[in-house]
Amino acid sequence: MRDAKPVCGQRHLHVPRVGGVLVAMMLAGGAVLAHLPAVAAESQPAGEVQLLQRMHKAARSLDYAGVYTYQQGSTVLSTQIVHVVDGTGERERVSLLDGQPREYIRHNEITQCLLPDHKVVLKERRDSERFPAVLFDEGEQLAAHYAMRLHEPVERVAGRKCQVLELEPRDAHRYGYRFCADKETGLPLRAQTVGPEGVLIQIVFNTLQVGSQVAPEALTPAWNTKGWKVVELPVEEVDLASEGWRIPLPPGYRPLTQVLRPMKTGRQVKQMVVSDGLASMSIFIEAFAENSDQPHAAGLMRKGAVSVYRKRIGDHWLTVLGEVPAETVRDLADRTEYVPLAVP
Amino acid sequence: MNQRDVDAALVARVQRGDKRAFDLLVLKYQRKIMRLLSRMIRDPAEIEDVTQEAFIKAYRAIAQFRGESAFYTWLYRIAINTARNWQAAHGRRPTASSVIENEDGETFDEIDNLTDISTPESMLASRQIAETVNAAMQALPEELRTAILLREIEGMSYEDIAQSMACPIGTVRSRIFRAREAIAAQLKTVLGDDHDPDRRW
Amino acid sequence: MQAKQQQENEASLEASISAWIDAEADIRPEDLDTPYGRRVWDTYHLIGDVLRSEDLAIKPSDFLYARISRAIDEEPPIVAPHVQPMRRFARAGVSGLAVAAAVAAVAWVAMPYFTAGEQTVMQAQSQVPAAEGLYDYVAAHHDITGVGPVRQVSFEPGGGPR
Repeated sequence: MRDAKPVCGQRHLHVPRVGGVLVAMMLAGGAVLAHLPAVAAESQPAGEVQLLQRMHKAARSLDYAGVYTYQQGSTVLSTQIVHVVDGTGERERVSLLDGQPREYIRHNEITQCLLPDHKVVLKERRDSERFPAVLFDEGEQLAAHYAMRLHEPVERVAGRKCQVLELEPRDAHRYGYRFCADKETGLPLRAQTVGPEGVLIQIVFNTLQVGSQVAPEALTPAWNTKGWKVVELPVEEVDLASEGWRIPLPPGYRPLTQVLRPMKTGRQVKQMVVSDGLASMSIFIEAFAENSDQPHAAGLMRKGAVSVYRKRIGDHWLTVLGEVPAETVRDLADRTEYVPLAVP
Repeated sequence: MNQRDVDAALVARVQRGDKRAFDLLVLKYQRKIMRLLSRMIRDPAEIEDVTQEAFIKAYRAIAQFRGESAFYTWLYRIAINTARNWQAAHGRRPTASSVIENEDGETFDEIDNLTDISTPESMLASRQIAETVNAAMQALPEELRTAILLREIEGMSYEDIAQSMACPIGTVRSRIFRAREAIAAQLKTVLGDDHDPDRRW
Repeated sequence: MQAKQQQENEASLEASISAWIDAEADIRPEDLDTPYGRRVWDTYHLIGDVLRSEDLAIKPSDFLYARISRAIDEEPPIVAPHVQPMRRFARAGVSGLAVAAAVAAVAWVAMPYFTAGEQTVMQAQSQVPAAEGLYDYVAAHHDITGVGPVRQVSFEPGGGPR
């Protein structure tokens, strides 16, 4: 029954969040949307940068709907998306087609996750004021860390012609990325995270409708959320540097956000997210406690495209992870220092 | 630059917090919106109420306006929706007998009460404005009249007008400006004085 | 003589507004930010409207513009997006793919807030081997950075979607 009346968040006057499935696709496998260079590096032809910007803009401003699959290792998961821009901004509905039914309804910066099995609406706000104001200055450029190349032969994805843009890492601190952008609209139809051993993650549209083919009615959630419990997770900002943490970052990586957040059982963990514009890592810091539910295994682990490194520093547990090479998370953890200021 | 850029520049300023820039958009489009709404709403006072509501709705939504359409197209849709909501709330339903389109490409349903909706006072003011503009135009030297007609009616750029009138662009700019000033001088009396304390500029 | 008069006119505020209305010059914003400037703007637009269509020879009541202007003043300030290339992470935030992960991720980390007392499969965490307990970190990572829902599969004890 599709007479759902979702619980709507209040109208926010904050900067609406730029985002959307395809924006994430652009930044394949764990990347974070960040600054796209307005000026190409000297050695970088303008065409590649322009295509990146075109993909970015298309994902934000066009109406589109379709089904895409996420592939990593032997896992394939399908998701359906509808994205519509109207007089009030961006609206988006994403539904998981595999596993437990879940939907995500977004209106600009307000997102609601619908969990029908618990009859819960999880509300998230990404207020601009909660994060550092300017995280990338104009000088930060993807081209400094990735060699960009447009491929000549046109490929076909989801029945549409698209052009391949490859970003090859200039060092070993990150993986590479390959996008295929729709010739007609600029929408990213396929995004791959590429490691030395090949494609690690692929996100690709199987079917896609664009523009007037998209019916706004498709934004209606699958369930009527009347009577559901609305939960908002408490997340607050922290400043790790002021607490004494010295976390040297690999070239090109900048801090994006630092928050204190609850984990599964409610224990509080500090999380810093850093990114170079495509690749990203999270650094978790929490107090070490003997009898808690914390996993205590230290060392390096890899699960698919995600590298994880854990170590104990004094009374703290440090966990560094991300869709980056294993050495990157390990080096970052090994170079991290904790120098708390002496209490006067 | 073109017309859309003028609106886009104003919208950008509004989005950065400049409320007076929005006032300029109100001044620019209030007549068109009122005319649009007069097709759907009979009472002149109510037309102004809904006009106000439409502009405020537009202001509230403007942070999300991204320029994919022209500003006026976006504003027009908001005004139509505001008017329809208003009609529904007041139990009025237009009977759509046909869709008519005016010179701006605006379309609306022709409703059965397209009778005169103005008050005698506003009718008089409208007629006076139209007559004053016409008279002032007739009184203009021909080169000024031609320049402003090519600009306002034909929508030509200064460069194209310069070619058409075989004169420098600076002269075109000057002629259009002087035409406007001459007509504006005549309109001063019709539009009312500027000492009205309620008039807020 | 007349040329000089003309020159003065060209440099005037009204001449600037006239050119800007036609998108033929850049305006200095302060020129239009005065009552007089706004009146000139309004009058010039009225002229253009009336030339094009006499039914735009509308004189709104004196109160309309004042009401709108005052109402706008009372609205909360706008904080709007930069239209240029992204400079703020917050706007990037949780995107659609992240959504899929976020839906799984947020559900996972939010468990204590809505399952108090409930028995769920996910609470069999005392049986979770240490390495598998990393799921919630990855979920927290994807909540912000965004990736697909594969994490739910590869890290969840027992693996595979239910």
